[in-house]
Amino acid sequence: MVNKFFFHFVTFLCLFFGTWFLLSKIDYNGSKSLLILSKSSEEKLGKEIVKYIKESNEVIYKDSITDVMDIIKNRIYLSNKIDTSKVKILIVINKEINAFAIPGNTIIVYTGIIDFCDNPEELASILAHESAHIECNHITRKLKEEIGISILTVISAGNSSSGIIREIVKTLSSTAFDRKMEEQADTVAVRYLAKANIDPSHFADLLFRLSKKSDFADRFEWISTHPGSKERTAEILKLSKKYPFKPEAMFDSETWHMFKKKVKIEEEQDHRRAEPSY
Amino acid sequence: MEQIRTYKPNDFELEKASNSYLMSVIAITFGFLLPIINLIATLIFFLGNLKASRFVRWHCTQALLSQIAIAIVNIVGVTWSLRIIYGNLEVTNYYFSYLITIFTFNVFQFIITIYAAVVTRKGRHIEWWVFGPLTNVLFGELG
Repeated sequence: MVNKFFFHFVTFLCLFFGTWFLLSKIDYNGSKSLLILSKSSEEKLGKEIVKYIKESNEVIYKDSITDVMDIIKNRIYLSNKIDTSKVKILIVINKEINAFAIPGNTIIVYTGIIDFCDNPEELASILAHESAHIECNHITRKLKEEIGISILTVISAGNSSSGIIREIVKTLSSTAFDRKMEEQADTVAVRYLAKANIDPSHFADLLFRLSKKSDFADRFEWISTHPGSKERTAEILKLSKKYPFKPEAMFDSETWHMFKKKVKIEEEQDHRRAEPSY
Repeated sequence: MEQIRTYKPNDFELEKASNSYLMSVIAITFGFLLPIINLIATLIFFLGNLKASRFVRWHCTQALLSQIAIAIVNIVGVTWSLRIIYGNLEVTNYYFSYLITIFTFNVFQFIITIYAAVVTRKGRHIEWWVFGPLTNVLFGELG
């Protein structure tokens, strides 16, 4: 009797899990379906966005500034075995404290956030976080949800109005990633920083200072799509204990301050250019 | 599945045994959303027939055991769904395939429950796969 039961029971389990396993082979999510943006479309879309940003903002091309940014980027990428030519960084003159990734593997860094960073490790944290968004494929996922695949495809084919591109840039530059994506990007960023022997606590410090600067995130945390900065700070410090590192300074403080000074000069020159001449 | 037994239950017993299966079916509309409801209905009927004849108790036990199994798989499905909606889980292929699997098993269980209710009412003893032998292990075979 007991044997009969066990035989039936095992057969039932095999049937249940076998059915579940076989059905799981069907792609219900549509991740491999037509509802994805192809690589070439993503690159074309990225080019359209870069074109719009260059037309509406001043971009810094000076080697003395872009080289420093490349040094920081390469430190993170080489340590994490990421192809350094994969991601481009565009430094845009804008006082807003912001940096964001766009389709086509480009990170836009506003001069406002460079000015806000106290040290190169904090700037490295921003690059690590945005690179994590790129690696985890968050940008197109977010755009698909916010704007829709059909519009993205039309834009990537070159049929775009500046209004739509402006909307896309607004979507990407606002803090629009959901909590899960931000948490994932934070986790990956901490790993990147630790592997590059950059102390991830600088990332926590940056977020803490950002949270103090803006009351909005704390007060309206319950409607925000981001985890509150205090929570993120605590989580980052917790994560940094998981990944061993030996902190190595990025540059000496003179190089860093010279870099920030040059960025500030570019900002002021752009401001003067924008002032009406009578 | 069906087995002929020497014991001949009377009409009252046949009706009660049949009702033990109907209990889970009656609650099915609510039980789909709250899997525990079917189980509670069957459990209440089981407890209410603890002093009934062996035949009735055997069938109540079989019905209850099958409801426990279905409730477990359904509760897992509902919990998983709630964690996706309110928590931080992602919708994956495993989730969809699980839903389809438990839906299929629920439909199959519904059909065999109705069948069991009908044939038991007619006086035929029916032992399900898994639950029949399990009931026999717990209860002893019906002679």
